[in-house]
Amino acid sequence: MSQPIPIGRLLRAGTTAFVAGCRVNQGALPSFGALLRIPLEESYQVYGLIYDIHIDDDGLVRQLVTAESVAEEIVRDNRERRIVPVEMSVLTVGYEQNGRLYHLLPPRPPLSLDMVYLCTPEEIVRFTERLGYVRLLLQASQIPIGEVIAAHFLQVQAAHPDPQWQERAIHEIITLLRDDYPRLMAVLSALSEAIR
Amino acid sequence: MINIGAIWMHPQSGQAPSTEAESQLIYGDDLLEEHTLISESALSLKRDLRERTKLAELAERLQKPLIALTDGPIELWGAKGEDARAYAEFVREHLHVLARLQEQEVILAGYVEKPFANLMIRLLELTMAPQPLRREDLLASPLRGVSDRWLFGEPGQPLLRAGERSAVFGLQSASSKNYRGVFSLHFFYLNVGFDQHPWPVRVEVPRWVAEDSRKLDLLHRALVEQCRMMGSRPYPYLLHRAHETARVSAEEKRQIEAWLALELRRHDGEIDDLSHKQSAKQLAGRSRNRSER
Repeated sequence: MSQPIPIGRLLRAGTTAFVAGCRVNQGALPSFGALLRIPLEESYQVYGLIYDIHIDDDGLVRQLVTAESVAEEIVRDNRERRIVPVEMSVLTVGYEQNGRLYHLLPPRPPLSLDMVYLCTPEEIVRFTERLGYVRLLLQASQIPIGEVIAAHFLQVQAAHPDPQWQERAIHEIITLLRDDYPRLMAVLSALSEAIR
Repeated sequence: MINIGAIWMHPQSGQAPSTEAESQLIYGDDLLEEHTLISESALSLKRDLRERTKLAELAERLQKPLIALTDGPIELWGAKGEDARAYAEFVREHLHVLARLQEQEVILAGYVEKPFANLMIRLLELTMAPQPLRREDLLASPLRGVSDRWLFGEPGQPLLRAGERSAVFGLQSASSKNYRGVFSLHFFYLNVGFDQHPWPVRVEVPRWVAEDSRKLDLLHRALVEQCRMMGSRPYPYLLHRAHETARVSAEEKRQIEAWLALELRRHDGEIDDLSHKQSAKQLAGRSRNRSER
């Protein structure tokens, strides 16, 4: 069993989405489309999928980019010492309570400064075994849904032992978007880049 | 509360600089001097002395050669007229700190970014005056309106080109007389700007640095490098970061006040409430609760 990988802490949250922050130098920087979990209590945790990674600038960084060159010491100072976190916007895709996974919005959102963990391959396989969470993904508006799903597919493929998973997931997407042809084509077009 | 920040880096090491911040809460009798509330300038003196003591402490554990920068003049300023005895005590302690720095052969410098004292212009005025000098010649200012910054950094034809420094001069002022011998204060001007946009700054050094050309060259190079790091607005990167490390934000100030109030209430102390008018002013305006960007 893989060890849990803490990647940051919660900054703000709602029921449908939350934002987590981490320092730039943290070894296991999460990637776009990655599945995360936030344990709230011993028997309750919330799952989410990263749909945006955002790095804010500040006055000093804006000034430093005008220098002819930036020394390695200064780059590391800004990444490791200064308090400018990487922000990850995360879409809630389910929760777990008393050992049972629900592909539903959670009864309570996580709280500020709750620790955020990257899901291990075993946890990804367990969460994606059923495909109910795809519905929550497709309901989200104002996110690059095709790109998020494609990035998620690439990560699930690497973790999943079931060779049929990809086919099942695509069927699920086609079923859910059968009445929304433009959106379906946008998602399938992005997926065609991820699936070879 | 006095908050100080220190930062140190090893150039060309590829390592991130290290930082340290120290906070000191001053309360009770320590806030009184001669039965009156301590003045703002006396508090500033305490902070400045603490900053310089921190440099001496760091110097004793960091490898040499070591350049130590403070923002502003080397000498301690303020409160002289208000309480001469207390000021003299601060200066005595400062001299002790300088002795520690000199013992470690630290290349100490005070960075005066926008010097308003026109020391060079005053020198020129004195050299222009007829000899022997009369009292009215000393009081006259034939070059009034001309500044040291203009002299060294005239736009278009600066006396100092980008990255150049002037000769080293001895600092003559009433308060600098407190610093004698190896601690006597000297200065040079350095153009940390660009040929098209000169920016002369005054750099103060003690005599043990002023008389060592190797130390001066090392300091000169380090200051130019530090200022270049900041791009279009040259200023030593490490001094900026030290400010950032020491700064107490408004939010942190509110937290400290809240903790103090809580602790006082726990001990049945009385807290003065905000006026209702101020309380209403601080109500948050209507805004959306952002859960996603």
